[in-house]
Amino acid sequence: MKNAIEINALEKKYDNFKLGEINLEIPSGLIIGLIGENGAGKTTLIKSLLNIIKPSKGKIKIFNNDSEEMELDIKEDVGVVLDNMFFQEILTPHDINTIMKDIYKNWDTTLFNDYLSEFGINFNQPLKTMSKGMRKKVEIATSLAHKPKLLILDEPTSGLDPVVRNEVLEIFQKFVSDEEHTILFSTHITSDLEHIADKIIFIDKGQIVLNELRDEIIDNYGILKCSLDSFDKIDKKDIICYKKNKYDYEILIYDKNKMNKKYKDFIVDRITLEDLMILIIKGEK
Amino acid sequence: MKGLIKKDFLLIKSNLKSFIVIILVFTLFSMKGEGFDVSFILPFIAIMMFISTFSWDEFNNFNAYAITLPIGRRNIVKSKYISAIIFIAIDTIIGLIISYLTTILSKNIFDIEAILSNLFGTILGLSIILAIWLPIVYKFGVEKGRIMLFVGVFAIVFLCATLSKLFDFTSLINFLNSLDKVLFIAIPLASIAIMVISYLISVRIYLKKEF
Repeated sequence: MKNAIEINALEKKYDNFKLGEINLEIPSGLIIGLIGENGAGKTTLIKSLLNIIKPSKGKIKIFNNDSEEMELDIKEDVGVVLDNMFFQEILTPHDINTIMKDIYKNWDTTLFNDYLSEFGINFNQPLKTMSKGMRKKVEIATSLAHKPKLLILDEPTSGLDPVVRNEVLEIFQKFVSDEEHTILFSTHITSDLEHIADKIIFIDKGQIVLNELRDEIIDNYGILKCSLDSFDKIDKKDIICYKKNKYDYEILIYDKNKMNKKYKDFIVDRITLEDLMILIIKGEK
Repeated sequence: MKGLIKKDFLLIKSNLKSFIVIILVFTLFSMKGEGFDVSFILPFIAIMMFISTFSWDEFNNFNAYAITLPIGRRNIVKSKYISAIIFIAIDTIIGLIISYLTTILSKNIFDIEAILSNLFGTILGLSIILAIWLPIVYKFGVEKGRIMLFVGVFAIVFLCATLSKLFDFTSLINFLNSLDKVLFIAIPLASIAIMVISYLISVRIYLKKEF
């Protein structure tokens, strides 16, 4: 399998925060979910990929080309949605089309129009009179209209209502049905990823703490629940981390089947990405 | 790059109406008053329009997004300089046309030579201001840049006023007037040279900038 993105020993230092060192390979053809708390480094990582910020050290390759040397060629094939609104609010979708068709070689006005009609967006309406969700949809349509191979999306679904979120997720799924297409998608709405992500990358305090296929996470990790006084019966080496609640312990374990057999008196629950995130961030070791 | 220049034009439409009102008011003034020509004010309006495009880019976080497009930081800066030049050129031409029409209407003589020499001085002045202002904006952002622009223009005016009180510049002005024909060529060239230097400084700043 080819890699859409390769990150080698990436580091970005700020006065009060450090991302990295990050080593990461993102295979093409997949939807990759980037999760983590606010301030964990998701946006810093995405901005480094897009040359918006300059890494303190390390190399990034996109489509097997150096992201700085081949910057413009790479960007012809990358679609982007940033976390903040980024079009001047007095512009209309029609204006955006006028601007973008001179920026991307492969800009497809018909495709852009199709997405907008699908989203029910009026062409000549200034962005400032649109709801936050509609503006996000204009941004998503823009990110797709030059037929990119890679979509890099920072919180594309935040602020969208569940119906629209589903529409958008469906479009993303359609986009990767072609094996060449890849999506890197950061979010803190982890339930989105449970539906569509093939792989989950979890960043905490500037470090990658988990990088696995979604199915493997769901199949292998589990939450073992035990009462306060039976906590000592659990083998310490089976505990990845745990959280003490008022009446019980929640323990993150790996290899659910094995644990089920080993601890017959306890319940091992299926894990959601949200549980996993909370346990890893808040749990004790 | 062409896309970004188009974008700057599309961004003016929000305050186009107020600019037209300003132009109309000054046109009326120039038809009534003596020795004041409307063409003189148009380059200033061009600068105001130009600054407003910067404000929109910054206000709506467009600058970070522009980096993600296949344009390159160098061309992003270049497009702004080109926009500035086109704005000034278009507004100057519009100014000359209005000026011509109003003088014809009020049955005055259209003294193209006097108008052009005034206009050339204005354009040179504006290119110096822009050339200093643009790198500052790229370094510090448009809000701080705006304050510095006001302070800077005020300081220059104050300095010139003080100097003209202290020294007698008549001989210098006479000398410059005698160079009329030379200045006709020299001023546009000087404006271009100043803008090119300013552009090179802005690019250096922008290449290092993070959003």
